[in-house]
Amino acid sequence: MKYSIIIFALLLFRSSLAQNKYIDVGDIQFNTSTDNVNFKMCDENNIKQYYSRYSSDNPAGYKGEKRNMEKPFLQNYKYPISKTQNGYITIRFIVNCYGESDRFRVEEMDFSYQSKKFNSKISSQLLNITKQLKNWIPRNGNGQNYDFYQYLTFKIKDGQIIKILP
Amino acid sequence: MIKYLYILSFLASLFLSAQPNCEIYKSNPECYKSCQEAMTAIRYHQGSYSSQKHFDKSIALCNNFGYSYMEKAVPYLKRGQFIEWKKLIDKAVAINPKEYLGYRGWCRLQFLRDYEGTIKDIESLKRITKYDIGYCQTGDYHLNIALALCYKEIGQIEKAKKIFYKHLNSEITSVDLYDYYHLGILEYELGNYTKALKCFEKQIKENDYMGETYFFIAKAYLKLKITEKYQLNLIKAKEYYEKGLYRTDTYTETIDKVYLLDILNEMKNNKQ
Repeated sequence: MKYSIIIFALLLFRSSLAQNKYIDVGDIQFNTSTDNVNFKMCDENNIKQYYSRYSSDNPAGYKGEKRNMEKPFLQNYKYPISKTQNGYITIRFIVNCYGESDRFRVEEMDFSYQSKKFNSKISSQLLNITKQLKNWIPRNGNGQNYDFYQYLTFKIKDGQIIKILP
Repeated sequence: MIKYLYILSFLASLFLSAQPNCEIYKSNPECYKSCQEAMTAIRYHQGSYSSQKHFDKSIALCNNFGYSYMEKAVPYLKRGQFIEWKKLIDKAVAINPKEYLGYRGWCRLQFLRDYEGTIKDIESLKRITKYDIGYCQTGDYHLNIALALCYKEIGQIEKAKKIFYKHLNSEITSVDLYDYYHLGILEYELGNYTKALKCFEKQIKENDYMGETYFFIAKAYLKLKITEKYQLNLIKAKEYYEKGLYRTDTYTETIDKVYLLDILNEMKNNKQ
């Protein structure tokens, strides 16, 4: 029993090494503890970047453009003014070919680009609202929709959203 | 002649971050090899495992080859991993500030609206550059205009205005595609509506494929209480937008961006 656990752990370790070996910058791999197992993609081996496109393609985007995407953040985000809550929160994720999103990853930094931790009420609100965005438009080329990587960056000053990028 | 000088300066800035000529490193075998590794790296898809691996090799061979740090950083910037981007681009800047300060400053503005950071970088570049500081990476703005836009955003509007006019009235520079659009907005924000309209007029002469300009013309007329022209220009802004005549950028929202929803909301809120 003891040996089977060790062998199983070694196999898991090996598989995670193999999985991480050839990843590209920004790739988001499936994490059983945070990601939705039912989230399906058209082609997991060909996830585009939100900015990559060919001239004949319809680019990825959001229905009603960015202004419409910003609305739920500006309407629902609430946090009292706080002089200590400054910097950027970036949420990276995948939008599949059906316009659904998952595999959210959060990176937080101060205005000096150093990693920092915001009050969890700030990051969790932003993450929850991002998860609820339903109007993503997948990139389309030759009549086919593609999965793509997207990110949203929130510039936070005194606990308030002052800009949403990109 | 001035126009030609301007074009040359513009082209020079476009090539600022172009691939280096490895032959100039021949006297230093390790850096020569490093440069060749970097050339191999850029043959792969940007940000791919293979490309990044070759940049790592390049850096290991010659750790003061700034180009490889800069190029290795790019996919982190484009994919929202800014902490990693900053670590790498800082190394490139430390190695060659004249070449990369303006580039880093522009990226901070374009991707993060880090106005203070951009100001710091461009002002530093100005201090160490005896000649023209050049253009931003996208080629849309002279770095003087990028600097002015940042000062405006942090509330130093008079300073921004001074930089704008100094640049636009200089004999060695030229007017670019969006300069008068932004200056018009600055004048509008200062309450100088007639001056703003003059700027927008110049903008249209320079480049008339932006619905955004007509949106701000309309807003200036509204402030001047010239209702008919307000409505006409708002309709024109919408028409331009619907024809696809508005600014776009592959990576980020453009500065002073107006969306169709802004035009429609303006129409709804000020229905006469």
